Formats: sequence, structure tokens, C-alpha cells
Amino acid sequence: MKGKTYVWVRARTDANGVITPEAFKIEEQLVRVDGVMACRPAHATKAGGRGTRYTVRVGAHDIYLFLDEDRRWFLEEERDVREIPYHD
Amino acid sequence: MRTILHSDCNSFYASVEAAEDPALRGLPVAVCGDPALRHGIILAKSAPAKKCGVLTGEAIWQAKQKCPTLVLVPADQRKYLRYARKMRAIYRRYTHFVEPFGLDESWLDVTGHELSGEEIAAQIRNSAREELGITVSIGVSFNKVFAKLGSDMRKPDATTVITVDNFKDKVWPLPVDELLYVGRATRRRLARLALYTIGDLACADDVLIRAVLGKNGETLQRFARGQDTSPVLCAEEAEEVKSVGNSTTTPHDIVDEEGAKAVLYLLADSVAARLRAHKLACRTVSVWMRDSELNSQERQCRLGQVSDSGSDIARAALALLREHYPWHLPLRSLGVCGSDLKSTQHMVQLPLWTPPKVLRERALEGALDDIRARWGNNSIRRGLMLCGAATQDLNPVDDHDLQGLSAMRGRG
Repeated sequence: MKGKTYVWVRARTDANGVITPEAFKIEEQLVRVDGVMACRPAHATKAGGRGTRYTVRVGAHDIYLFLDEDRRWFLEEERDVREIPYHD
Repeated sequence: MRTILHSDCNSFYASVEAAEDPALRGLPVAVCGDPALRHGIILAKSAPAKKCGVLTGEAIWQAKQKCPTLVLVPADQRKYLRYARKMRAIYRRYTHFVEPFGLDESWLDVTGHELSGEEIAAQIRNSAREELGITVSIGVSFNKVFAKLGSDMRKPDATTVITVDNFKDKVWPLPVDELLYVGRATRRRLARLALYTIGDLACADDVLIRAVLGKNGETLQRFARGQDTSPVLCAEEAEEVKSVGNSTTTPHDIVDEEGAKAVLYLLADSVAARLRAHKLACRTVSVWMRDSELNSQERQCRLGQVSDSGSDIARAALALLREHYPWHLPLRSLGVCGSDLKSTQHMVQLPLWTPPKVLRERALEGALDDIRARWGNNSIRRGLMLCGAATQDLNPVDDHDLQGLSAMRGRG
């Protein structure tokens, strides 16, 4: 299986149960999410499996952040992560 | 005019495995049972494996001969159930009338929806691909039988529409056994009348068909003419339990009645536990026997009184086996099924006097249920189970997706 990377995520849950990821950690670096562009159930084409797919904007990049059935967050490929400029 | 969809997940088990592990995509993949427990047959195969000639139901070694690069993946029933549930959730976005037909097929009645059947089919296919990573074939028609035929016509990931105007061109030239419920025996009988296609059956004389096939013949002929009016049952109605059964292939062949008795008690106990869990009792017990040459037969009898007791069911099953199995060959698989079910929640016709032995047996089985619920199915067993090697590694409740014998027969 290609690099499914499980990550630490800070997320907000509103009164309606809507979950919005705000930041996640890669290699102990905190990456701030600038906005959630889309959210839908989806198949993780590159890594396999499926879950709720959040298209999150980090700087100029849009990346997929998945929340799987076991409530774990993952990124599909580490390459996605490396391209992200670290914040904070 | 109704709009019925029949959706069939393509190579379901193999597709789910590929959706979970992208490394399997495009490879000849087969999902198989556990060879150590003699469940070593091909349960499902991917499209590339199918091209090599791998067949569902054949032994692993046969499949490997045809396709040496075949990748074998052990079956994971829970995973497939999870995907099946997700798939049904997609269907329910369009209608509550979703009737499952096995794990990977469902009928949907979308009559009156603002979108056309074809548009809904396209959206469902798209959702299955994007959300679950699997493909489905969908038949759209005005009745269930033709919708099912449609979903078989083009695979994978395709929609086939059969309308009142085109069914004679599309359906009638097909061989008659493509029709739902036409099996080998019916096909042979129809062939004797020189009826080979669905169109032949539709146009045949009603009286002749009735004489040869009886009432079933009339039904089949109605199907062939596109006059099937059976409704799509919503999930709650469809899931009403009609029978509770369990079958197993033992790790070693069963050579005598003593061995068979142990397996029958094991199966009957698990059937009875499930009956009790559903607050049901059965009136009819059937036993299914398959010998080492894979010939199977099923026999049934009525109990004197409805029962949810493992001992009652096992005794009836054993009596049937004694009466009908001549032991010319060892047994490979056995199944026990309780049907003609009655609810035990409401009124039950009680005998005037229940012997103390029966009362003790009931209390004992209730205690067994408790112990098994807490510590697992193998935590307590009948002493009988220790005798036969055939039953040592069996755990019917945990090992199997339990289903009726009729479903087993289909797999042969």
C-alpha cells in the first residue's frame, strides 16, 4: 500500500455535529488549515480505503485530508505533505 | 409504469479488496476461503483473473494452474458487509424501496422520482466509483425480472435500459436460463419442448407450459412476457426472517454417524441460539448433506411442536440423516435449517404438561446462551464435540456469515 499517513488533527465540532479540521501535524510541525473547500464521502484512490474527504487549503495548495470510519485522519501520500509550506 | 433498477456490484469481493489495497488493481486477484479448513475454493475473482479462466467455486490449485500469477486474498466477510451497507446507503438517497438480493445486488423502485431511471443509474454508478472505489452494473426496466437481466447484460460499470418498446429485441433472443429462477432442471424440460430462448417461452402455449411446469411455469411465462408485477420490498420488509440455517464444511470428512451427530448438534445449537436471539421458534427442520463427491441433498420434517431448542432440532436432524443417508460415501458438508418460523414473543400454544426433562433442557440452553454471550462461542461445548476430530476447529457462529440453506444450494 502506498503511503497512507495518519496524522494528528485539531478539529472543531459545531452544535450540529459538523466537523471542521483547523490544523494538523506532520513531523511534529503544526500546519494550519486556511479553509475547507469541500467535504464529501470518497474513495482514497491513491492509498486505498475510504472515508470523509476534506479538501483543505493550506497556503496555495489544496490537499485531501481523510477521516476514516475509525475516526482516524490520514493523508494519502507523504509527497502531498512535503510540498506543503509549514506554518507556525 | 414502474421504474425499477437492479444494481449489481461487479466482482464484489475482489473489487472491495482492490479498493482497500490499490496495489491489487489490475492484477488477477481471487478471494478465497481458508485452505487449512478445506474452504479453499475461489469465492470471487477480479476481471483479469476471469480472463485467465478462473471460475468461482473451483479449488485454489485448479485456479493456480490456469493462472500462475493469481494473487490470493483471504475473505473478510465483515469488510464486505461494511461496503454493502455503504452501497445501500447510496441507494437510499433515491428511494426507501431498496430490496437486497444477496450482499452485492439490490432492486430499487424509483417510480415517480424527478430524475429518470437512467439518470439515477448514472449517479449511483458515479457515487459507487468515487465514494467506495467499486463499480456497479445497473439494469433499468419496468419490472424486477427485466431489471435483473439488464444488469447482467453489460459489465462492468454500465447501464442497460430495457423498455416496453425494446424488450422483445433485447430480452427475447437470450437463452431461457438467463431468466430469474430458470435453473438446469427447468432448462432441460423446456429444451424437450424445443423452447430455448426467453422469447420461445413467452410465445409458447399457456396450456402446454402449465402442463409441463405447473404453476411455476405460469409464473416464468409471465416473467418472459414482461408481466412481472412483484413489488420491490423495502429493506425492513425484506429482512423479515423466513428461515434460520447454518452449514459447514468440516476440516475432515465425516465417516460415520457418530461424527455426523457431533456436527449436527453443533449446527443445531447455533441455529437454536439465533432463533432465540430473534425470539423465534421453528416448526420445520431440514438437513442438508453433501458427500465427498459434492453431490448434495436436502431432507426436511415437521416437529411435533414449535421449538427453539438445540436438542430438539438436532434430534430431528439426526433422525433425517439416519433415514436418508446410506453412508455410501463420507460426508463433506452438513447443514441444519429451521423454517416455518413462529414468534415466541406473543402467544405460544403450550402443551398441557411439559415433562421436567424438557424444562431442564430449556433452562440449560438459556444458561448456555448467557455463557456464550459473555465468553465467546467456544467457551462452553457439549461433551459430544470432544469425540469427533471433525468438530474440533469449528465455530459456526463466529466463522460464518450465517444464512439459509437455499442460499447454500445456490453456491453448490
